[in-house]
Amino acid sequence: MDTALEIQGLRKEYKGFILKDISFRLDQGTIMGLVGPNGAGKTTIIKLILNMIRRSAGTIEVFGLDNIAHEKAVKARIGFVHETPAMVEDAPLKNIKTALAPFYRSWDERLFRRLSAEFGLPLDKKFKALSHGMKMKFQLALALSHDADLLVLDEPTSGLDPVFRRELLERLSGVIQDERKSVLFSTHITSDLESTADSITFINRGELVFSLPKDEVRETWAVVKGGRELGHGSLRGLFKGFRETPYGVEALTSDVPAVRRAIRGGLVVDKASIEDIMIFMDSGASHV
Amino acid sequence: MFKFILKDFFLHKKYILSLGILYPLYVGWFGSRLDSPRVYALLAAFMYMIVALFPYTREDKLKAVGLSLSLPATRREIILGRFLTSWTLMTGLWILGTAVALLMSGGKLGAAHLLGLGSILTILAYMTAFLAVFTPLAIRFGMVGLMIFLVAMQVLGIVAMLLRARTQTLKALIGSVGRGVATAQEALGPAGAVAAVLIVFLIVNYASFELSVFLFKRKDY
Amino acid sequence: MATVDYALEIKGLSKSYRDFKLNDVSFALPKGYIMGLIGPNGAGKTTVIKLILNLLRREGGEIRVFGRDNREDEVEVKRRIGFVHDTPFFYDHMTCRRLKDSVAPFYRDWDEALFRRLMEEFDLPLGKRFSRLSRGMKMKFSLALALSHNADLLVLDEPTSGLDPVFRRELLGRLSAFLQDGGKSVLFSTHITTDLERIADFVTFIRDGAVVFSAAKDEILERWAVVKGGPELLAEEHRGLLQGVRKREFVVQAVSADAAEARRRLGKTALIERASLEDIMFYLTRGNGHA
Repeated sequence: MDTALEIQGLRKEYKGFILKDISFRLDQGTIMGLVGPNGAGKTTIIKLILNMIRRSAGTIEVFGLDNIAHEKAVKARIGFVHETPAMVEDAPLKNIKTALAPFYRSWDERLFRRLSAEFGLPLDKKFKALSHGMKMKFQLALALSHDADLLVLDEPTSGLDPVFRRELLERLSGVIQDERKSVLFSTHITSDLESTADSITFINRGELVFSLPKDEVRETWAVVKGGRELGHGSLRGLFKGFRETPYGVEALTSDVPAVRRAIRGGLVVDKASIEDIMIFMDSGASHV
Repeated sequence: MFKFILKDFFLHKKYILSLGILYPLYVGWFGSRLDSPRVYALLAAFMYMIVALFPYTREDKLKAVGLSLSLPATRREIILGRFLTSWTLMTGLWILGTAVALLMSGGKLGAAHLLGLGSILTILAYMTAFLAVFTPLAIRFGMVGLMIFLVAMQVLGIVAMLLRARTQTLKALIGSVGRGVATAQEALGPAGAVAAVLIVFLIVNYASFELSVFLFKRKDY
Repeated sequence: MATVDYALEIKGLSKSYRDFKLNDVSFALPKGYIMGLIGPNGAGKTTVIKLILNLLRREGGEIRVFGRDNREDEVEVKRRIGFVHDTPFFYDHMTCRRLKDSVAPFYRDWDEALFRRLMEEFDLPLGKRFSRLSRGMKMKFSLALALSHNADLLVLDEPTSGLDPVFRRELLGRLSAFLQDGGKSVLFSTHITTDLERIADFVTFIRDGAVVFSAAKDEILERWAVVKGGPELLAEEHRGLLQGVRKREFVVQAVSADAAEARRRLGKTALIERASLEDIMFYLTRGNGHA
């Protein structure tokens, strides 16, 4: 399978935060969810892909091309949907379209009109007059109309009601029916991933925790329930995070076989949801 | 590259159109009241430059620069686009402003002055100077920085006035552009002056362009 | 009727705008419970909340908070409500301490010690400027303010929007703790229905300015089901049973308010699954059979 996006050893240094050793790959024709707590580095990664900020080290290749050396060629094939403002808000939609379309050789005006009708976009209205969901849809229409092969969406579902959210996610799933197209979206609404993502890349505090196909995540990570002994001695190293409950201790592990080997006797082992992983790995839960 | 000018026009259409009418009206009205061509040139150049930078200060305020950065264009091209848009705007405003000044009857600065070579070259020189200074400033410090700079200049001007002694230096600095053009005209004749101003125009714009590209490339958005 | 103490009672509430109308909205929140308010954007949730706080004038109907009319006894009612807004409308440049100082005097029951304790628990420095707080911290601060005047009813409008799961869990935990004291109640609107499934006792679903249902969460999740099958589901006889029908090529999906009946009638030919709140909302908003 061809690679839509390949990131190796990506690094970015800020004064109070370092993003480091980020490596993952997005296969063509798939959807990847980029997930992690606020401030983990998701938006930083996306900005690095678009070269909006400069990387300190590492490589980013989009369809085999370095994203800086071939910036134009790469950006011609990426469609970007922003969550936070990155738009001249009081321009009407049709003006925004007229302003941006000439930059894309593969702009399909008819497709844009069709999508606008389908999405119910009021082209005469100003961008700021749109509801949050409509803003997302408009950006998506723009991205699809220049036949972007890689869609990068930064928190597209945040603030959307469940109905819009599901629609958007269904739309994204529809996009990759065309196997040339791929989608990368960051989110912290983990239920989005369960329904839509093929693979999941989890970032925490500037580092990569894992980048795996969704099924593999389910098989690898688990929540083990037991007593306080889970947090002590040799057992401690097997777990990534702990939580105390009224009934004992819950611990997160990515190596169930090792845990089974180390602990005799009955163990309660539950599959971990992405949300569980995120919560367990939060700083406050790292010790008993 | 035309698409860059188009982009900025369509994204900021309302503002460009309204400022594009207001500013020339204001400047033109002034032009019909002033008797110093040099002051008029100074005023016109400064005001038009503000409008020329407007799309970018707006983008900065709205944090919309991400839009330009997601388009398939290098940062160098984006800056080139800015210069092109700025000059297109300034030239258009200049023409409009001159028309307004001419149309308003009783103008002390008649057609001879406004359309004279000296006047045109002087305005061109001032616009070049202002744009060349303010474009990299705006990139490096953003709109806030620009505002601070402008306010600081005003304060400096007031302080200079109060200190009297310094007034000459400031005036001299700003006046040097106008005087330079006048000198060129005298020394080189009309054709020579045009050539001289054009050469300076190219050099200064190019220098500012390269500086702006350098600053823009280094900036994280 | 048994004597139930209600924190909030809304009857026949109505309000019209040019292109939107809130119509005959009625629901009630018994004291000591959490109610979640869900619905698509523009459905009227924020309007309802604003009407409760009398930020908007209602045109018809009644709103009673702890038995008192929210307009006639406005001051008394507001004293007992703690409000958390999704986009905190505080003066950005003020510090937390100053913001607190400007709000606290309005409340007779302001508990300074409680406020400080909460700020410490939430890890919020008093001297920090509001604008420098992250979104989650702004939310926590708003919550600290709302809790510190010993409000009996907490009303939150989209408190978890934009927050990551870690913060959300914390917030939900905090809300649960709030209710430990039996007299307290919570009403909150949200888009993140999984949060509601975790914590709400009651759920009210508003769509197009009207209440679709308002019932106990457990009951809702038991009674509703998602039904997936073939075109035979479109048959006339199933019309009353299935709602929000969606047809995609040869697959027909819908939701049913009577899971037991659906299982009886269609269990053999169709897939009957537990419906999540999101499922119900989705089908009832996007499927057929309604405006």
